[in-house]
Amino acid sequence: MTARPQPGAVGGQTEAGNCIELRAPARPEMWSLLRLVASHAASLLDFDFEQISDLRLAVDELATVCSRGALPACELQFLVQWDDETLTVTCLASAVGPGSEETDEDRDGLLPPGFGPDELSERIIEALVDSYEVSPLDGSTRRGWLKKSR
Amino acid sequence: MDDALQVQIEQTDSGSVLHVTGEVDVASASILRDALESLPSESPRVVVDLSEVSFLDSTGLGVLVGEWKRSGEDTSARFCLVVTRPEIKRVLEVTGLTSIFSIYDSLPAAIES
Repeated sequence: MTARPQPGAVGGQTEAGNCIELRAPARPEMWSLLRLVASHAASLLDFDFEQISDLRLAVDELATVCSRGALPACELQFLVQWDDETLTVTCLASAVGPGSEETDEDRDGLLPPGFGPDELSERIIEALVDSYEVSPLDGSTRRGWLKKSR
Repeated sequence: MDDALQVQIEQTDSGSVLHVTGEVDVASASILRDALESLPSESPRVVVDLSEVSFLDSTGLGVLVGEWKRSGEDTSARFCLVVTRPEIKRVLEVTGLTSIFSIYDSLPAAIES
């Protein structure tokens, strides 16, 4: 029997048949693929339309938050795990080269207090899932996970 | 439905209408930003029609908030959104942005307001 991986256990051992793991360049155009994978897993758990819609957005924001600061040369490990009731998504973004180039978001220095990129992202995730955690940027690595149940 | 973001600009007697279709995310939000920045600064009113937007994330919201703030003091009169899809309403609600944007449930209502 294989031990069930804990949130944040990207790259660790996972239970066969109940997980999907991806490793990809952390480029924004990959986010649609992450949303697709998470929504497919959620459909296997019979999440309803609204729950899947919430999950797609939360996953998008999790990937964005984890990658922010490490872009553009960044690799993303993305793990979706589930049991009978709960789906867990874990992201690990690791810079693989010089990062912190100015992004489109940075150009919006006009954003009022409370509506900065990280604040909006975390507000969205918090509202749409049962629990989540995003670690502070640790050198060139940032990890986050979220859980959502039916 | 094609997910690729498209923005069409229509000039009306009362101002500019942006018809937005597809997904607005971190990969595509610059298209919306460029369209907003291309509008004449003297445009009396900007209506962003999101009724055909199937996905809107925080980056897209950031673009809208930036435009809202650039609109100046009388922002509610100049800048407004048309939102019909529940998933788009939801992201505006959970971020608290329903309190700052003028939001209408149809394009005619937004234009006539």
